[in-house]
Amino acid sequence: MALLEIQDLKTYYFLPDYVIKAVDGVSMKVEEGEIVGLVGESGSGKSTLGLSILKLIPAPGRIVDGHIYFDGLDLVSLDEEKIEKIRGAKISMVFQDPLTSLDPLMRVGDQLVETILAHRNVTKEEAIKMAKEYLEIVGIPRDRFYDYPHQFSGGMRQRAMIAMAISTRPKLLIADEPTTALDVIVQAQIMRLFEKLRDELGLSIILITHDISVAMEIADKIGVMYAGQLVEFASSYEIYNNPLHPYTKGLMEAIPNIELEDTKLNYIPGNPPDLFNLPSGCRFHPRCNRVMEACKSREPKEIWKGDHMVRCLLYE
Amino acid sequence: MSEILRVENLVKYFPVERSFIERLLTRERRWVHAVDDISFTVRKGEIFTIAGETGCGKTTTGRLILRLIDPTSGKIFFDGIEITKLQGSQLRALRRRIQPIFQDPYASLNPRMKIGDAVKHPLEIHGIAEGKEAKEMALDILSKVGLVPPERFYNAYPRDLSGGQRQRVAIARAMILKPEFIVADEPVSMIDVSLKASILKLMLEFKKELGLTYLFITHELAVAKYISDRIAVMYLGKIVELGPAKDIFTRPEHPYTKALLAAVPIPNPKRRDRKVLIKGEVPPSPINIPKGCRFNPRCPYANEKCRKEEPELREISPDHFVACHLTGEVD
Repeated sequence: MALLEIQDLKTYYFLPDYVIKAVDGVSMKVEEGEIVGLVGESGSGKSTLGLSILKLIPAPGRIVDGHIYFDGLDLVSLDEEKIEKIRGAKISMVFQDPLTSLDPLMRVGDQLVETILAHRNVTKEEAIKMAKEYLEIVGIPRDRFYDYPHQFSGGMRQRAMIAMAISTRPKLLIADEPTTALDVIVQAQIMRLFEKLRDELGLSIILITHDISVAMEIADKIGVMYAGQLVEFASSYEIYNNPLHPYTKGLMEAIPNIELEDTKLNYIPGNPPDLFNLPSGCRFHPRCNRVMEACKSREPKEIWKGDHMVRCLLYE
Repeated sequence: MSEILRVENLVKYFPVERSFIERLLTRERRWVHAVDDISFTVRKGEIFTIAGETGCGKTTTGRLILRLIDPTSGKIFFDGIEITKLQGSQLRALRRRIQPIFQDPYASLNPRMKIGDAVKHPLEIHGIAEGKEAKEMALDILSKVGLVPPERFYNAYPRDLSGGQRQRVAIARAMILKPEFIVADEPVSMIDVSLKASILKLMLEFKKELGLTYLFITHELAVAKYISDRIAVMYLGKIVELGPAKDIFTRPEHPYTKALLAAVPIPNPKRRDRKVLIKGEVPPSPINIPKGCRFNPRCPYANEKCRKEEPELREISPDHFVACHLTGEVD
C-alpha cells in the first residue's frame, strides 16, 4: 500500500463573487522512500494541494470532495484534534521562506529542542543531544546550536527548518518551493540533502516547485499540474524521455537548458487561465498546439498507460 | 564593434547602519562593499550579461549605470561622454537614451495609473509628444509588445493584467522613447517558465528594430546562455571572469564560475551524477571581505598566495579574462 494516496481531491476557495477551483480532481500516490516532484506554474494549485494534505487550507477555502489516505487513515474525514497528532509528527512541511517560519528571538537550538520535546517522549538532556545530532545530519556544525536565526545565512536557515521538520521522525515531508529563495549553489546543496534524507532515513518527500529542472534533479516521479489538475504523472525518466501531454512537452521545450548547444527557446502562447474562469472542455485547449474540436467541449479523464498517467483527449 | 559604455574602476560602498550604542562608543563606521573596483566596456549592439548570486553587486552596477545612485568613486562613460557627474537637463537627456526594465512588474507599475497613461508618461516627461499624438504612439507600442487589441489595454489598470502582460507594459514604456541602451535587471526572473522565452524574444525584436544594446543582469545562467554575447561573472563586488558567452559556458576558468555552472539544475534525470563543487555560500552582506582572493575561503584549490594577494583580471585567451592566481594550473 502506498504511504499516501490522494483520490479525486477537490479544494475550492469560496469568494463572495466566485469560486476558485484551486485543486479540482487530483489523484496521486506517494510510496515510501520516494521523492515526488509536483511541478506547475503560478496558480496551478500545487501549493494548495500540499496544504490540503495537512488540512491547512485557510478560509474561505476548504476541501469539498475526495480522500487523502495516509497510513490507513482518511485525513479528509479526521477532526482537528486527530489531525494535529499527524501534522508535524508524521507529516512535516517546510516552506519557501525559512525566516518567517523561525522565531527570531529564540536560539535555533532551543527551537529544535522545543519541537523534539513536543513530539517525542524524551528528557530535556536527551532532546539537546538529539537536536545537535539533527543539526549535524542537515550539515550545520554542532556549535551553531546557540546561534539566533539572524546569525544564519539563508541556506543554513533552510537547513535548520529541515532539521526541525525531520526531528519528529515523520514519514512524509512536504517541501513547498524550499530552494526558490536561495542561490543556485545552495539550492544544489539542499537538493543533495533531500536525497540523503530519502536514502538514509527512508523519508518520502513531496517537492513542490515551479522549476521542472529542480524536480528532474532529484525526483523519482513527477506530477505536472495545470489549472488545478494533474495533467501528467510518471517517473522522471518517463517524463523526460516520453512526455505525453502537450503542456508537459511545451514546458520541456521552454526550459532553458544550460547543456544544450541549440540556443532556441520555445514558449507556450497565451497565459495560464484564471482558476475562477476556466475554459470549457480541456483547460489547456486555448494554448494547445494539438487542439482538436472535441477538446473545446469535452473534459479529458485520467488515462493510465501502465505507470504513466495523462489527462488528454489525444490518448482517450 | 565600437564601444558604447565604458566603466572604469567603479566603486560603490554603502554605510552600515550603526546602533545608538555603537555610535556612543564611536565604533568605526563599517561599509558594505557592494561594487569594489570593476572595469568593463559594452560594445554597441551586443547583449552584455552580468551574472552572479545574491549580493555580488550586479544590481548595484546596473543602478550606477542608470545613475539612480552615485558611485563612491570611478567613472562611467556613455557614447564617449562621462556621465558619472551629470545633473539636471543633461541627466534627463541621458535618461532618454538609457532606459531600465526591472524584475518585478507588480512593483514597477503604478497601480492607480491606467496602462495607457503609464506608457505615454515618458513621452510627456521628455517633451516628445502629448495629447492625441502621444496616445497614438502609446497604442502603437502596445501592439508592438503584443498587447492586442491595444485599445483594450490602454484603458486597463495593472491589476487587470497577468505578470507576463505587465512585463510587456514595462518593456513598452522603456521602448517608447526609442532608447539606445537598456539596463534589464532580471527581466524574466518572475515570469512563468512557459512564457519566459516570449519575453526574451520580444526584447530581441526591439534590439533588432532599434539597434539596441543591452546590459542584462541575471542570476539565471541558463537564461543568460540563450541571449548573451559576452558575460561577466561577479563575486562579492568583483568581476572574477569575463568573456564571450561561448567561452564562459564551454571553457570556464575561474573555480567560482565552474562551481556556479555545475550547480545549475539540468532538466534531465540522467545528469544527476554531477557533484556540488564548493561548500558554504556567499555571506549575507559583503562587509568583511576576505583578504587576498575574496573567493579563497570557499575555493577547493586556494593556496598561500590566494590568501594574501588579490588576483588581477587578466586576459588568458582573446577577449577572455580571469581573476585567479591558479589559471591554467587546475582543471
